[in-house]
Amino acid sequence: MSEELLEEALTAAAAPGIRFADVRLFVHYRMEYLSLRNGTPENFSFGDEPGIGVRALGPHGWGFASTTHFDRAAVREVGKEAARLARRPSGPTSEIPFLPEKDSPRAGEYRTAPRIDPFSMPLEEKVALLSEAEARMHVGPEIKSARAEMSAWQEEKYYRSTEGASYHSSITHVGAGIVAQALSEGESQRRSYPNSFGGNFGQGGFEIIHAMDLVGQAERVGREAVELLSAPTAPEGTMNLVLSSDQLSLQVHESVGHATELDRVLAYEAGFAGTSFLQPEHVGKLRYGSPLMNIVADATVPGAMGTFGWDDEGTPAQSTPIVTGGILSGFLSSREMAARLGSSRSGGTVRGDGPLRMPIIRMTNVNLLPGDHSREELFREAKNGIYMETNVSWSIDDKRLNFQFGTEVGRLIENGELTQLVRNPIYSGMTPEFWGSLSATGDESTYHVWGLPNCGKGQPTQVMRVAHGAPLGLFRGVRVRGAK
Amino acid sequence: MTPAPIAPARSIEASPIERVLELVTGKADVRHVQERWLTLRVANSSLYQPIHEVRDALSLRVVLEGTRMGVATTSDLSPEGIRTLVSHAESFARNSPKTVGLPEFPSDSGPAPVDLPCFERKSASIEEAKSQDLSRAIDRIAGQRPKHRVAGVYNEGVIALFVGNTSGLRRSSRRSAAQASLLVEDLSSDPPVSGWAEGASADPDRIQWDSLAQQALDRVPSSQVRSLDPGTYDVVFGAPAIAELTNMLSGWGLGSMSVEEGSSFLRTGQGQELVSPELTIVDDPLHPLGLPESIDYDGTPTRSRAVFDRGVAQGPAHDIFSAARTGSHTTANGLPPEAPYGQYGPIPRHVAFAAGSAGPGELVREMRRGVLVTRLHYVRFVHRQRTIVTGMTRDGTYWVENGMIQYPVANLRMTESILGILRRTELTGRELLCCADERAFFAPVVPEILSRSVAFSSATLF
Repeated sequence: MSEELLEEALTAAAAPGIRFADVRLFVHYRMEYLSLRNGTPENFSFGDEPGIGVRALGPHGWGFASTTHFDRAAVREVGKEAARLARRPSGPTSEIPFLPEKDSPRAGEYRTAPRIDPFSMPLEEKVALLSEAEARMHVGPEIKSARAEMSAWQEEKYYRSTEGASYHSSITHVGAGIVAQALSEGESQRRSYPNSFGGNFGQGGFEIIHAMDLVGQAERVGREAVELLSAPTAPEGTMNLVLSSDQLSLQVHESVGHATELDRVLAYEAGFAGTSFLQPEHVGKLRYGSPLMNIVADATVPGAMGTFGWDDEGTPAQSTPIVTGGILSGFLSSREMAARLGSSRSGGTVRGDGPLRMPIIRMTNVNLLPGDHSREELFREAKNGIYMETNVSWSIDDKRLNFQFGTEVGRLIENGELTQLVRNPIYSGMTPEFWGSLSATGDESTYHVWGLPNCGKGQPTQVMRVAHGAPLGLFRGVRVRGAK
Repeated sequence: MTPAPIAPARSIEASPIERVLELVTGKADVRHVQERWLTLRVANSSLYQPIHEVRDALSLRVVLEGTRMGVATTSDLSPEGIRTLVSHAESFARNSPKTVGLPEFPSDSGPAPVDLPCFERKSASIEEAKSQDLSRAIDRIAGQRPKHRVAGVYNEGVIALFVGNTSGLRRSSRRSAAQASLLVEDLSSDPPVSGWAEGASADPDRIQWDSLAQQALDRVPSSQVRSLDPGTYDVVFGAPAIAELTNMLSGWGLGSMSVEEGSSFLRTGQGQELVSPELTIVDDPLHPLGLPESIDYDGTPTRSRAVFDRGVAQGPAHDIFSAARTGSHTTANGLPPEAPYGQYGPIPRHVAFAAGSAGPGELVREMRRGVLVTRLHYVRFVHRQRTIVTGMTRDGTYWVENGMIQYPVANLRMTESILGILRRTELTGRELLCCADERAFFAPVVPEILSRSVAFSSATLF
């Protein structure tokens, strides 16, 4: 049936005047979400919204149409509609450049191999784990709210294009986390594990959640939330800053990942997401940060959220250097944007949020590569300053220059040792100056890949699951203060 | 002529709701949502990504033994798809821990929902006319100002919502929404200067591209950007900036869930004068300038309710579940029960300010000296309970002196309390603007506001 629907949609889209068309047919687009708060279920939901999205490139522009209706007549209409929109008379006058994909095999399959399928394992086992972790966070009367949650997604999709490409992907993502909210007179503090905003996420099965040891960490999380209530506010000043791997991964996301999306650089997202401080001619010339800064966009990292076989326009997964030795060395690109830049091949970073949304450039796994400092060496090198961990607040301007981040916890660094816990720490800066102050990166033992399930971009908004690897990082002379 | 794509159903009888409820063994409510959207994106002064989207989905919430609840959704409306939907929801309910105090689903008694007008396209050729209007508006800007770049978006949709439950409730709403924005940048200036205009209406014909284009063009300054030291300034906030702050407050501070968790200012602030007594703010899903919705996702008829009554904070928003949990009444603010909505609890999405007295330009004149902020970008909470947010200004920030706009300034980072801004509000504009998102989820109706002593913690380079 899938083959017939794909053929029906593609044939309808490949109308006279259409230069290229492709079809993404999702036979499953599943999501499971379980959350427990204060001993009671908050949300137990399962969804599966299959659908089809058809993209067509006409003489002067794109057309995209999508539907959740799954019969032959509906998918034929969607194909025709994409072609109609692509051939509209009111498009731009110049032809949209688009690179052919010549090097990829014409057919293939990419499949996540979960050891424990999160959708077929017994629900009561998942609930039991979340219940125990949630209960253990209630370490005192100050804990007014404790939540344990898990998410799983599975997309099974077929891709066909007028170039003859035919791919099948079955990708499973899972994640989980716990968060305790402590309350006292006039103060509210929260602590999360393994990361804020839902926890951590990866590609695979429930074994990823088992490895988190949510139950084993729950009491610590509850205690730290309570301790934060009486901790002093973070100090104000310019000082050395050590960022945890989880916070540094978000720093990479906001100030490098989005900034190097080529559609932003070329002003194709100016109306909503924004543009970038980068220009095409900066490649190979612009100093983004210190020589310790090495960043790649790598869609081949095993077990990461931004890993796939082919992107959503048939380009195979690949690893692209983005910043090398502190110098900008590449962009995240698509077949259209790479052609606009004069490149010979797309970086393969195009994805759409499910069947209904038009694929656009998205991050894959944009990773800051580790350096050579052990954790102890890095703190010794910092000597005095502040350590910040686990994001609570993030904001950056629409060219990705001026940023401000807050974290759940801070700890003072005194004589190379972590000492006093401080609350509501904030740091701020400007992207190139901040990355220029990177003076040490942690080694492999401090490096971790963090899944981020809620990256927003596009109009209408698309939410994408991406990932970032990051080690510990030491930055010198950073503006720090505490929210009062 | 190309036929119009699949249109949402016109009556609940055409919906599969009855087929779902027949299969459920416990108590349940079910939503059938049908949406059809056209999106036209504008980038680099061209129509760029025209998108046609049709979504047709069911959302089922089942309660077993009065204490166990499960939720499932599907876009597979075939008999097999519906059987799977019911099976999933019931399986989740069976394996759910018990919850004390789950409510009975409401019956069909009580006031009937308001019958809203729905402005719907009859054919695709009308959409083509709309896109040609947009193209002409872009061409006109390009013709008048060749070094200007235009970006923006137009969204137009029809949303049908059918709700039924095992207590006999059957309700439906059918509404239309259109939303548009235009950004015009003068690239001959370094850094570029820009002008912004936006609007939303239930009636797509009320979105006038010529008018929006002229507004955006008029706001493009003719002088170069200068830097302004961070500090504390009096500020006139444009309606889009107020809408951004309003949505943050709605999502994280005005709903029952955030009060129950302790992260909302309402936990201790209810009944207190927390904002200027000059401000009355309501949640009004039927506001004539907004994007009206006649029922919420529980099927409860919507109505207007005070959020701040002459400055005094009122109670939080409720759905039928939070109302039962807290001993309150629903305020018709129910969201879809499935992720990613269900875990946020009820949220007011149609917050509307009462119009003030100041005419166009009067706020700037009255401010005398300070900053005019058009829009805010990437606003996030720094401290939820104190409503402290941080975010950047965007697309038009200007220095005002002697009651007149002097020149554009580089964008600033505002780190401030939302309640503080509203508490120090001195004057409110009499013109109200609906600033909706692209799928008409949040649709606040807001004025321009003059607020004193607003803190800016840093500045950027453009």
